[in-house]
Amino acid sequence: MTEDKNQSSGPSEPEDLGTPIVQLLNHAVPVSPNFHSRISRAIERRVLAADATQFGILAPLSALLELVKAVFEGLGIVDAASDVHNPRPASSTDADHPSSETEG
Amino acid sequence: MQTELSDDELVKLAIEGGEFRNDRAYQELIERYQGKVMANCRYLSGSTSDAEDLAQEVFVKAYFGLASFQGRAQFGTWLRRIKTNHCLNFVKRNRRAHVSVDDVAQDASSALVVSAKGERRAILSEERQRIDEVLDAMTEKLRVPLVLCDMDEFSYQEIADQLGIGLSAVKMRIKRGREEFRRIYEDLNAA
Repeated sequence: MTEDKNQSSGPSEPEDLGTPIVQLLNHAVPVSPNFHSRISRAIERRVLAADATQFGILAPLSALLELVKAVFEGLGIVDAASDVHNPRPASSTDADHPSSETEG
Repeated sequence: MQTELSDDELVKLAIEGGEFRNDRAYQELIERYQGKVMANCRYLSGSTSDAEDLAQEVFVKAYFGLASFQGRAQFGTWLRRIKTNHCLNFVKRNRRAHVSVDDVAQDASSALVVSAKGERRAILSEERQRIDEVLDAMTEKLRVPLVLCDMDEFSYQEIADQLGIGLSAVKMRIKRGREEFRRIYEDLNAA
């Protein structure tokens, strides 16, 4: 309890508020035997709802992302970009395409 | 093993722990506070039937808020804030939806208390039951500030802020609430 419990300011405020009701300080009310399982079920319901919502948002989003990726790959844009950023080593290019010069 | 752990240690374990079913730490915290949370929900809402639902919602809220609990306050203080806000919101919602508790005739509330008395007598101890009856007989206007002050140990200023009334009004209600509580309590003892 803070200090203002014993303070009184202003003429309209009661000077003496009386002593606190000691019976209330440690008063507890018993809960039903299934109280824990009720909390458990409520928490699980919420977790399930959150997972379902997350899935509902993420699943279409990742499908869209895959679709866009497939379109870009089809157009060859992704390959070209990845070639610029990660050029293949000369030896592996030769090994992968041994007959490229003869064919040309 | 967990009865020896402090609240802070249990909170840490609960945050690190997985799902609720395996979370002994949080269940231990519930066991420690369920009686007081239930009492608060019971007397702030003034409803026996809603009290356990409210207490359940308080613990569920606290469970999902544990990650944001930074340990600056004690767990009990943090939980006290959650339960008080939750119960007062419930009271406000109910007041809007139904007739004000203050307007309900005293006779009607006494009749309800009498009807529920027999059922509870078997479960509650005599003293607890008497407190129950006294608080039930009080109006919401006096009961809520009294519970916040003498049960939850909020300061007068905190109570004024939570109820949205002036400091002097809070003090007046607490004074009258204590007087009324003692009067009814003594009447019950004498009867």
